[in-house]
Amino acid sequence: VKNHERRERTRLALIVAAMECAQEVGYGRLRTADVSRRAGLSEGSLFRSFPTKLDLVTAAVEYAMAQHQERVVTEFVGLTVPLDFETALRLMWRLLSHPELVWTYEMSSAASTDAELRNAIAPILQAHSDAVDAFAIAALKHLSIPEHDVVKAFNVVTWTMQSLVVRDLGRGPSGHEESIIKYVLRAIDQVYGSAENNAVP
Amino acid sequence: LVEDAVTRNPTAQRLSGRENSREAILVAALDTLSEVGYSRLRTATVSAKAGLSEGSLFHHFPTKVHLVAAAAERAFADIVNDAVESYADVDLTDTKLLLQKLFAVLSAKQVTWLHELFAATRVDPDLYAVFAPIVSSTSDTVDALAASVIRSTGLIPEADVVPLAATLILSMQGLIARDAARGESGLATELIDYLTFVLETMYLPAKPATEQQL
Repeated sequence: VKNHERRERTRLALIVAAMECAQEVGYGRLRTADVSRRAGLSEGSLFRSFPTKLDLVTAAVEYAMAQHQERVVTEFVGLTVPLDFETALRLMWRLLSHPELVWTYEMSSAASTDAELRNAIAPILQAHSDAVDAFAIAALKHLSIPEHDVVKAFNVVTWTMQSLVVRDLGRGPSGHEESIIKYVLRAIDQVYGSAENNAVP
Repeated sequence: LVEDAVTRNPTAQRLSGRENSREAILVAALDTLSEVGYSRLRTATVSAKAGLSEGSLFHHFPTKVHLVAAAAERAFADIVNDAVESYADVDLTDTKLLLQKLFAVLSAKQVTWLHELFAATRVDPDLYAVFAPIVSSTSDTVDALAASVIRSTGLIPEADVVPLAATLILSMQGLIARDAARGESGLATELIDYLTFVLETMYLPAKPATEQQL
């Protein structure tokens, strides 16, 4: 049991170190030697926990996604005001542009041209996004968008925000999220009727 | 852009040996980037594909960053050319067709590695310094192009033109990036249908809501 606990602690230290390295230097320049050094362990010990770099990266993605999911749930549950569309959109932007999530976007684009990476992480991304989407959609269902359109509207907003985060990485913060949020609010209002009357406690 | 399209086609113009080898390296870099992406790009692979020495590559492009910047510039120019061609003589009253064409332009195979490059610039100051101005001017060009198509429909209030263009382009890019990383979701048709419904509801108020596409 003691050994098992120690193994788990080592694994977690390496996963956290890998996430930190990926945040700092990016996925493309992630080196196992840097990860083990940051975790205060030898590279040999890293390879005992994670036989390949891909195993380590996969575990780090899984961890980052679980953290993201936890943030989503905590933020939505912790709302002190009734959920309205503006609150929901600002929350979505904050969650989707979170620094601990942004490195996974880079990795996810690397997966588009790397079949091995894609096979390893696609199921994780899918499972996670299904869970997060289901949660957020359930929260939004109380508002004015009819049920058959909630998922579609949610997808449009999610994809728009994720692309804006990636685009801003390449050119610096644009602040465009502000005008997009305002526009989406107006669109919801025009297509589905007034959002204000639909706030739920 | 037209000049660029001419110089790119080796048969269109007799190029000097120097220009020829630069062009061969650039074409090989674009091929390699769309195959393996930015993080796994090796200059040795590119020069081998071009049938030239790595020394010759470095003669034309002193560093890998220079090479990638030139490739990005070319890829962006191609995407812009594509967009211009694809919207020439289009039926501006067909919302769905306009959206389908936008999706096709944004699905160009070069877009995937450009996306990866956007993200990589975050942590690479050298890459950022070279690449940020290119991204900036190209996104501005693409946005302006989309805005001009939207404006020419004559249906969209001026205040909506820019945020609408941004939302359309970004939402499509998001789905394309997601599908590239996870495999085809088949959601493209649904997205285009939904955006068509939203735009027609917002801007063609005469159309009764019962006609909406589900």
